[in-house]
Amino acid sequence: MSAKSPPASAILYPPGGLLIWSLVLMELVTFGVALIAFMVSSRSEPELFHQSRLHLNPLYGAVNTVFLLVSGYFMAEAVRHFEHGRVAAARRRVFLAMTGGGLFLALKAVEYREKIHAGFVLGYDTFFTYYWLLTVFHLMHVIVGLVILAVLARRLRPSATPLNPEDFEAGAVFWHMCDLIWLLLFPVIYLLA
Amino acid sequence: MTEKNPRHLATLIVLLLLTAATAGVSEVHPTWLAIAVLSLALAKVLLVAFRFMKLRHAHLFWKCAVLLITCATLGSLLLGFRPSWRPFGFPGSHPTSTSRL
Repeated sequence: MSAKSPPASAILYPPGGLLIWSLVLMELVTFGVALIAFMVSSRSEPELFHQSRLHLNPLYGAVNTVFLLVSGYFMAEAVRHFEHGRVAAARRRVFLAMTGGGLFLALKAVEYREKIHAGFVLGYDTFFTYYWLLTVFHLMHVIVGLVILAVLARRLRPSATPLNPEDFEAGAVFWHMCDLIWLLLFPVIYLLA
Repeated sequence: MTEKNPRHLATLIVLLLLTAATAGVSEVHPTWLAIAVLSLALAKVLLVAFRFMKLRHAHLFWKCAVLLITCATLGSLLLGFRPSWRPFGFPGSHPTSTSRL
């Protein structure tokens, strides 16, 4: 597959397909509404949100942002190699992207462990209720994304049946969507509350 | 041997610099913190969408849809998180700057 412009009949067809981009828009709206609800709650309890936010470590959030961005870079490179027929190189990039996702999960586990040990569990206060709901919901997307990447890597084996380029691109778009959501969550929860 | 795409690499470097800037602006005045952090978030979201997700190759409809949703979300957050539009000595609604009666 090459990066040709789509035919006029498919002018509304985005890279990766209509379905995955509809999902991206819905997820952006869902998380956007949740973040606005978070902001509205923080306006009604500013002192509580400010004090609770001080219990978060922004360094964890920043490092996790780096993990997801580097992972996204490798996924973008994987798509490029796949489009040029370099399947082995694409498979290596998918594994590197998965490593980034795995590091994100590991650091999240460390952060969650600290919060649970300190007693900041779901329902501790309004801030931590939002914190757990938003970050765990995002984490579930990352886990689903990793499963998708694992399936893609399996389908890129030399012995496997050839992968549909659009399926590969759709999987990559889902993985980048995890980046997009985290790029909205990180500043609002860790820096602005 | 496979070559690297300089555009993807340049995008990654800019994204990492913007992330470092986001982490570094947390000491600024509360009014400008919200503006700075949310503007940096908008820049990062658009870079990922247009460069990594190849939104630049999509129809104008998809570009506008992503841009509209992201700007609406971040704009609403900016209106909510700004302590005051009077940053030159007037009290705002931020907990650290609110005068208690």
